[in-house]
Amino acid sequence: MSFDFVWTAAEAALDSFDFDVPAEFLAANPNMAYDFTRTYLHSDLDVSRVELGVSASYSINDRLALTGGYRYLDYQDDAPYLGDDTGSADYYRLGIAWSF
Amino acid sequence: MRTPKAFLTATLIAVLLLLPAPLAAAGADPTSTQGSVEVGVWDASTDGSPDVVSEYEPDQGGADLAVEVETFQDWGHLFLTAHGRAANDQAFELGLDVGRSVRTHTTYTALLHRLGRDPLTNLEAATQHGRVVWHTDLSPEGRYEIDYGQLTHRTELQFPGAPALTLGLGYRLQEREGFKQALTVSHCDSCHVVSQSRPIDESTEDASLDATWAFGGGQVKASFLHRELRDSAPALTLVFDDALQPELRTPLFDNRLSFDSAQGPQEVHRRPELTKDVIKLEVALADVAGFAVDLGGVWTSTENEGTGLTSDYNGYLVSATRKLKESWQLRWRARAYSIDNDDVFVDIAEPAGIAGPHLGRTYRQAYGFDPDYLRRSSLDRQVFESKTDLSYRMGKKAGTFKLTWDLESIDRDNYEVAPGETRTTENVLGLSWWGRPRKGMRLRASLRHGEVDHPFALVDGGFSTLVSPMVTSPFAPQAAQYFQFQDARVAETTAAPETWDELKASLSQIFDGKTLSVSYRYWDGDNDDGDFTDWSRTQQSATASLWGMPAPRWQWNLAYTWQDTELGFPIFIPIFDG
Repeated sequence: MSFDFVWTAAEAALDSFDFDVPAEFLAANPNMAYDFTRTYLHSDLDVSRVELGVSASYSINDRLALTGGYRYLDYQDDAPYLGDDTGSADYYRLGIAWSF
Repeated sequence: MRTPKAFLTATLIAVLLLLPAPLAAAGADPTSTQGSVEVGVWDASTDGSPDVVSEYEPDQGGADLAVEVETFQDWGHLFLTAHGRAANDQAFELGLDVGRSVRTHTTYTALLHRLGRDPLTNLEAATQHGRVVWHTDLSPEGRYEIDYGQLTHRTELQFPGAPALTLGLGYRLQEREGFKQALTVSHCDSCHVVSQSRPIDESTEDASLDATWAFGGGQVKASFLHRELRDSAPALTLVFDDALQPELRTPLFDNRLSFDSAQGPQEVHRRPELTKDVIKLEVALADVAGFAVDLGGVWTSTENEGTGLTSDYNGYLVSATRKLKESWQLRWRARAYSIDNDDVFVDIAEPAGIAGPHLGRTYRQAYGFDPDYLRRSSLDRQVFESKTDLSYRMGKKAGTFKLTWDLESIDRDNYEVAPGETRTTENVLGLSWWGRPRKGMRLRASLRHGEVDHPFALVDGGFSTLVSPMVTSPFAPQAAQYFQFQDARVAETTAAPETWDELKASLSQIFDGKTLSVSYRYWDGDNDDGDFTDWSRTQQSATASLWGMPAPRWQWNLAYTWQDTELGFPIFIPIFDG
């Protein structure tokens, strides 16, 4: 039998930023709003991933064995932008092995 | 995958025909052949999006087959491993050694790559004056994924009467089939992004021949490779939007764009087909005045089969290493190469205006601006690189010091990196140390400083000094045009440092059946060399990992990574229409 487990998580973000524009210029040009105070929010990463695997082998005799395995994968996107890539998958396997 | 499947099938059949001989011989010596065959089934279920969680795996289920065979016989050695559970999920490796005179190695890999989809939902906006950005998805149900397959084969021949000579034959076939998301933009009436499903049916095929002659003092190797990149999928077509003034929605901008709906369907996302030839010569000499010397030459020619344009690379390299005295070692490596691309004249389509003040006139006729140009490649260059290091080993615990000097000179034929300057020269001095000060511990630290003359930059890349007057119409005679704003730029813009410093340190310690590893890197650089140039970047990263093996069949690992970047650069916003 074998067992494996992996958990990974990643977070990344920009600090807020803005650009210095003289107040008198903004007053003279009311249609030009150089406001970047929310721009940093468009870059934000917060994801995690889990992988869990189990496999086993049962010997019928010296040459034959039954084998099986199961894997579970889970990906969480906690800061989706435009599209959400969150998803999970279960993989199953069953077989018979002959050794010589 | 057409050819790899046929090749794989033929090889498997050949192996299965060959297997009875060694298996029969196994009866005389049962320990010389061993292996296994596994037959099974698999299935999968998914929830949500499979694009990331199963990025490289199929999920439709099916048969699961695996074979492993290895045999040692009087005639040689053979090994085979093969595993497949779908047409786009296979791994195959076959090695054969016949009397050490014929050695072959063949691999085949097939995998799926899911590409995901850009929903483009952020491309829906409008300004106060009615300028719009929007999108259209012509393939809303399309699945974007690529089936990738690569077959590699190498055979080496070494004849009994000439053991110093080795001939090599190589073959590689890489295929990509599937669909990817292709985006095109119509401009002027609005920023309209169109998404289409672009079929991919691409193959890259290499055939190579090489010969190696070994002698008492070294060896000489010569090789030739021919590569062909072919794309069998047709290019997409698109009818661009009607060229309209973006706020008035009037047909006044036809002479400001090369293509709009009047020109009908246009070919987009065409992928080139290429042919490439590579000749290499390598010489290794064990002792030249005490130095171990390696010399090499590489000559490459690449041709675009559609346009006939060519790109040539000629490169030469040398490395020399020797021990100067006890504990002192000197190493020098140098490379010189040139890149030369064909010039190409770009003839811009220039339609005439269909209404308004520019009726019947092209943009060139209205403003005297010539958009055609002769493209001389900015990649054309002569490059010299040199790396020198001098190391002194004080002992296992006291460690080893190394002093390094790296020099790189890039002289571009057709591109200025500063007014009147085409050459960038970088010198990097470094000092490093590594050692094992105590049992189970490894320490490493390094410091580098770089100085760059004329780092890569865009001359007059920003900060237009033109202030256009207030106008009521873009067709007013005093209205400034985009090319006039471009010509009035005065700032050198860059993302390359003029000076930089780097500090790296790492430690690993083994204790109680565990290994602790930590590392840290700091990089800081800036550039204020050119007119209004003001760029800086500071990066830090740290990693820590702990690995343990409490029992022979049980291990675990923890790891953490941290990164921080500060970036400073100027932005320039043109004052348009007053």
